[in-house]
Amino acid sequence: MHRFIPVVSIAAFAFLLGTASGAKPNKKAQPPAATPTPRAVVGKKTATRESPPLNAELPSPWRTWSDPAGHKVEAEFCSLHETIVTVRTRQGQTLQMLLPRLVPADSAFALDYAQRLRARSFADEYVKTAAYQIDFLIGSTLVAKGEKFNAPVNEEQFLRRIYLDAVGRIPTAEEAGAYLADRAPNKRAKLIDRLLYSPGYTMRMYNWLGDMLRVKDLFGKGVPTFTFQDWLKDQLQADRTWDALVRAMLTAEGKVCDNGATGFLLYDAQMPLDGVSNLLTTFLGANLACAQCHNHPLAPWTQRDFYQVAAFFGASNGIDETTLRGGKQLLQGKGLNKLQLVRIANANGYRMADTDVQSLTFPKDYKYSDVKASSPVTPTLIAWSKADSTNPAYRVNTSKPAELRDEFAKWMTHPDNPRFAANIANRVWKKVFGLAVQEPVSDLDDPAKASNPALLAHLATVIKAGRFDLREFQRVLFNSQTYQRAAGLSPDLEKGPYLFPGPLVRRMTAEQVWDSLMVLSVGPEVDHMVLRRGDDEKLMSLGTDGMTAENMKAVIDRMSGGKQSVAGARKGGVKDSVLLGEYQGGTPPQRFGMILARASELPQPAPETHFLRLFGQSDRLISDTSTTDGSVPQLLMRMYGGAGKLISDGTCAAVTVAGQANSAGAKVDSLYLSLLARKPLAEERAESTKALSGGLTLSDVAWALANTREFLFIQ
Amino acid sequence: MSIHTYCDGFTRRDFLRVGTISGFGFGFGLPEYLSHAAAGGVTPSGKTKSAIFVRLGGGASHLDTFDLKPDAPDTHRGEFRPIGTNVPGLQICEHLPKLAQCADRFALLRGVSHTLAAHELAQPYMGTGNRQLPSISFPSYGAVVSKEFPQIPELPSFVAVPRQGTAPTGFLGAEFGPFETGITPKPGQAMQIHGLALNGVTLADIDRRQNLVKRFDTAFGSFANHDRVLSGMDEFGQKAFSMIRSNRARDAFDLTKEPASITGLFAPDSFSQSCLLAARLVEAGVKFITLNHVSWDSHYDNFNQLKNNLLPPLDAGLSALFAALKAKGLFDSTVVFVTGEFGRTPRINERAGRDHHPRANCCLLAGGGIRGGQVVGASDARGEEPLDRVITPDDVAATFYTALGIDPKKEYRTTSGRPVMIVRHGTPLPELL
Repeated sequence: MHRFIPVVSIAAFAFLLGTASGAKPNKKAQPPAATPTPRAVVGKKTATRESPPLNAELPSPWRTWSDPAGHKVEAEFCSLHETIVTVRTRQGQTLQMLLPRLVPADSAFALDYAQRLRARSFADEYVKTAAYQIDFLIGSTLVAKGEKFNAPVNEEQFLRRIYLDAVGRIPTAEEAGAYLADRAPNKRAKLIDRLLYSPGYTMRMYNWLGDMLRVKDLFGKGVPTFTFQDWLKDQLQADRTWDALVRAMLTAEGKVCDNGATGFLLYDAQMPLDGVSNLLTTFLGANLACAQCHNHPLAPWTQRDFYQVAAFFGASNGIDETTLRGGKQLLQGKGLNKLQLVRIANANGYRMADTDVQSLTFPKDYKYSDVKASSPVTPTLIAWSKADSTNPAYRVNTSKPAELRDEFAKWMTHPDNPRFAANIANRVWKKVFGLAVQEPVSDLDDPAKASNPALLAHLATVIKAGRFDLREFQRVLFNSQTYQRAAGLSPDLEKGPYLFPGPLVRRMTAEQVWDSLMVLSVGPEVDHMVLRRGDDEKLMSLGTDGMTAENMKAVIDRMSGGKQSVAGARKGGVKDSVLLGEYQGGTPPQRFGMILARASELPQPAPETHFLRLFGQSDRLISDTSTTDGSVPQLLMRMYGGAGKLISDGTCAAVTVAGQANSAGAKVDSLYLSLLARKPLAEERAESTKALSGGLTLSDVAWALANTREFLFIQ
Repeated sequence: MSIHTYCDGFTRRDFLRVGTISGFGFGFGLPEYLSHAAAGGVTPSGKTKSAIFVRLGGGASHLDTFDLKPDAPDTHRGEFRPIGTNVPGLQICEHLPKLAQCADRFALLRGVSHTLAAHELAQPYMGTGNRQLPSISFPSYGAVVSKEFPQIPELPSFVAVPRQGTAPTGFLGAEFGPFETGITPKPGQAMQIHGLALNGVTLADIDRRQNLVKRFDTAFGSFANHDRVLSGMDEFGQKAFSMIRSNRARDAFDLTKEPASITGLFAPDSFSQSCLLAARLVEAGVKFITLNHVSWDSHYDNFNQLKNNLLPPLDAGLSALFAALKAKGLFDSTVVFVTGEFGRTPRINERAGRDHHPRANCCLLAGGGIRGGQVVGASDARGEEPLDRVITPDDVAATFYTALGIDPKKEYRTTSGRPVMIVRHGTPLPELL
């Protein structure tokens, strides 16, 4: 009973979805004349040196889209998932439309364009070769140590694992049943492809990045980052490659309310040096945090190294004092709503800008003799080896201070940067296998410390071959035999490295548990419940106007005059729902004080007492701090707290679906598929039907299954 | 008194191993959890102390509570007058008359000084004893206590009423986090706590469901016993189940079970009732309780807010708490620590309010062997700066831990393997111990 919730962000475009009686896509539509030139990536050495813009081979994605009733919207094509077309307008607004509701030429364009995008992905042959290479590199280290691969994983375990890893939630009974019944020999590869290109992928990746990039609704003194969040989701949805995404964040200019990409750097606007040490760790695994204050006791970095690389940000500034001061002055006056005023002043007072002067100096208490305290710093890149001096990534121009940030970003995201590719490959590997090839992910300074250095090198090659396309990279990992093996126990790393005879048994992340509860309780439509809050935030921009009472009043009028709510206003009347914006496709259901939408669509991070935080969602103050630890309050929440009630209160979608089956055995089968993605064993079915005839309800059985460890863990 | 450095019986090497593994994100530190759980039987004998941390969220005005400056100019002094206490020479605010009658039970620290004037920075500092670093999130006092002290069967060891607020567990992880009541108690009622209240579910229902879980949860078989994460989850599950199944935890939160001789000591306001709950929880065996008493951020109308809304409950609640702990014989084994994240500006602003002032705060410590009836430290004539000796939040934290029998210099490992002491910089104040 698959049903799409209409997803469109503003009423004016509602026509694009309309009702079920729409026009059918024109099957005869011909693709445009231009011949697609699929990227031919077949060998290791292909296409890593030069990176032409990725869209070079593609026709323009811009188009005026229309429906049979004559409504029109100009927008660029982003993606096609099943029958949902995502486009983006010139104003940066993302709209989603149903394929069958477009005029035939437009639906044909969307289908064709999607196909061209797919053609740019890895050839199936390359995926096989690259995945085989992974298996080979792991296999040979296992053999050398006299160890073996784990047994291949069974279909049921694979099914549940790939759903959780690729789209961040468990499959529904219907999805599980369809997969298990599929007889195609390549059904695993088919499922991997389908999931990687479905909306849940964006949600899963967004949660993963949220922890890494510290995605937080408000930073500093209350600057909203909703545009940053929307921007990030758009990048993921539209397959922006990792290098392009990082480059965009590091070179972004302006206010976050105008340009979401600035959100990353502005987070640390008040502490720019911390920001630099943070981004070196996140994107390069360069462990310079200690060198910020003193020469590192164990690592090779000196405080001088840190200051020299930080100087690439020494001509950039995130705080606009004039605007903030102007806001403070207005606060003394009368007539304006103080809360709104502070909010708008902050939203406009933080902006990334570059000057012609690099002003960073060594600290006045600098205690080493290699340079003088308080002397000016010459921007210099960090290097890991002597060979780096001839590396093409290091050809940067430091003569123009205003362009230092761009030059740094070019170096950092260059395919030949000694750590950029390995760092993201290592992090994605950890996401997929439960442990990185080199731990901790924040320190790649000595690659010889990797559990399997050759594997890490290979992964970096693969990610470069795919031009930093994270979707395609994961396609390779998921298709490896290593991934498709039984999961192992968490190892004692003191006794030696984990050699990856298979992935690790993992407790689901907070977001995976929550999103799985959401699909159980609401159904698969929850993947289409999308929240955008940045559009309201954009209204807060003063543009280039000064901070005067008049301009401020105009902004406040604009914000309250439009039918959209002020960013940060409460909506929906649920106490925990602070900072809710507008959901596309109607209001999400609410129960027991919880909004039933996926974690990526809830406040970032969720409020402190929310299920997500109890289960280890990070507070987004420090990178990579989400946990999968257990605790007693967690279990109480799961048993008889809100989470337990969601399953047992009688409105749970999975229980309703099971109730429609025509025998007690079939009802039990359905629940097992919903909760554990497998059929029950004969004795489990007998046990459950006995319980049902003994007075327990389907809700009780569902509750019991949801409280097993099998539910909470990824095998 | 002091527990030996590695009270969990770990050798240094074991400790490193556990620390390192936790660093990779799947460590429960289970051996610790298990050893604590096993030791649980010996807990209530009174070997370890308990603590009640009263957080005056928003920052209480030091000048209008425990550090009055009657000789300061009009621009600073404020409306309130000092009154004498049962300790000769010690004066506090006239709106704290009940505390004045039991000033021998607590010690005041004046001129507690730091430089962080923003709530979000100062709260974690005062709540952990460590100034925040961009790379380390420090654990709260409660998280450290629940790590250091043995677990108690059927009860959480760390309870926050109604919530912990900032920085609950830091790098120690969720395992040592607070059990948050979410609500404050009402006089003469059993608290209906989310996750613990049964709301019509009978114990028979619970047993039947749990029985089903037991039968279903076989996927990992004997495998589970060899995996830290899996067997850890089983431990937490059993503890959660035992909390729901037994009445011990529900009873601990049931104020109707408290004798009239005790309930009679407490006023009906929610802070006083929270104090009553804290005394009851300590008696039941809970090791650490945070009472979150908010709304002290008096930028506007400071004096009316204090006089009418904030000081009377503080006065009634704390004085009754001390009396109840005394009556229960728990006063000497329970350390009470009361503080806001900073004091407030001595100069009164144009809205009759006071703004943030971290330079000369005031803290209160009582019970658990703390020597009461004295003032340590002092602020200058206007309450702007420490007079001569500077007491830091780190020193106060080190004193608090030492009074509890926890060595503040004990070293932990953060998730990235970095060694960090419980309190990095503080020195215990000898006068108090």
